[in-house]
Amino acid sequence: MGVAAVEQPPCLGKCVVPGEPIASLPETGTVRVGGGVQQAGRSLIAVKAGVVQQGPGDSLWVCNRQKRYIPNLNDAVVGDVVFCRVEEAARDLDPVLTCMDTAGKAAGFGPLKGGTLFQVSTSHARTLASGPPFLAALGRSLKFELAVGANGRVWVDAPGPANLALVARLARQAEELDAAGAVAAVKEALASGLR
Amino acid sequence: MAFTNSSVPFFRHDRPAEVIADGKRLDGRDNEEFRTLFLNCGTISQASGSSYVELGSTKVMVGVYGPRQSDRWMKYSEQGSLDCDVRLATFATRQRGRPIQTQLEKELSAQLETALSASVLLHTFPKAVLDVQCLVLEAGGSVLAAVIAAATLALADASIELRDLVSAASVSRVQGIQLLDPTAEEEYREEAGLVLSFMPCLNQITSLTSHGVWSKDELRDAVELAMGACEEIDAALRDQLVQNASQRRDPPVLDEDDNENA
Repeated sequence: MGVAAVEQPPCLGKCVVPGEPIASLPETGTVRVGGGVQQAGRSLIAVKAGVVQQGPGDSLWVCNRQKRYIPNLNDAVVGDVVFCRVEEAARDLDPVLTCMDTAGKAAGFGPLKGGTLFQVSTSHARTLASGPPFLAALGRSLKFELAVGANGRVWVDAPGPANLALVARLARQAEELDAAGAVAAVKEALASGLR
Repeated sequence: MAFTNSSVPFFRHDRPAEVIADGKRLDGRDNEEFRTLFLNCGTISQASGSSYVELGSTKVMVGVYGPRQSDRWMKYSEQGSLDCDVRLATFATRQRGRPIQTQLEKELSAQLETALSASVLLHTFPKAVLDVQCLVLEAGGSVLAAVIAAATLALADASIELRDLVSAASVSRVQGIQLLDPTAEEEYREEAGLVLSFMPCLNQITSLTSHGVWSKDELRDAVELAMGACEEIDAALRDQLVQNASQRRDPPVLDEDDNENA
């Protein structure tokens, strides 16, 4: 038994609303409860509006478009000039950030020079961080650097202000489009001519 | 110089003397029918969450800001606090309102806070304050009910953790007949009225405000009527939130003539 007591619960991918029951607790075993889910007696209910997803360690959580960021352990975040990792996050204390990964190496963390910083919703930041196809399509024709933070802040750098504006615009727009639409938008932007 | 021409009316339309004629309401609704409901989320882009609700002619817009740091003079608190502010636009009522907050607005704000505080999980944002700003654009009757529904929608849009959605309905008793979702004219002629706010999933009443004289049976009937309406309004709120949460704009599909195919 153990953590995998709730295997592929049928509620995954379902849109839920506050007050709606998601799953009932099984007789034995443990269930990990993530953000947006609360225990009420023998069942788990949603306390946010969004889509039910399974997170790391088989936890159930509700994903939604949120502007506010809630610190989680091991999230990579972008501050004003620094790309760092959340080391300690407790509800009543300020989160502790670090610029080294768990092995003590730099691994791409540290101050970011140049480029531009903008904000997106936390769910879109997660999508961007997972390496969507439109970024790969863009990378084939254009050189750019991208740092995505779980706190919704995205840093982009590219040679030339026109290219920089283009990458930033496409990264933002992709939130409203699905995967195929985003790739199509990239192709269209590149075809319309960029030095 | 005063206007002495008595043929110029002070109000464009007089209030109707009878709101129930032959047992029928002026707008043709049943006694237990509420008006058309229109809901929209994400109306105000700068707010954490927002909503716009129309209940018949009553129009309400709500913006939720925060949770943000509370003022320094407030003592440390393990729980967050909810700061509700209801304003009526000066053009919302029959007679031009005053720009400063009136007694009615203060009362509506307090009633809104009572209705919502049972649902909001305040312990998820300690030391912070959540601002719920409501603007009533047109007060066409059942204002508090519309404000509560709009505020719930805005809180859910802002991803504030809620135990359940709070919906509300109001009932007026006119000439002994109980009318659900009264218009402003019906409220003006009422003998007694009540507003009920309810959490349907948890089956809990969060607030009940009543005025006038109610007998035990009348009160029970009115509360049941309002609870039934709350369940329907709750279903509409849920639909709107699910639609909002699952919305994804696909690129339009064009056929060979470049016309959009739905």
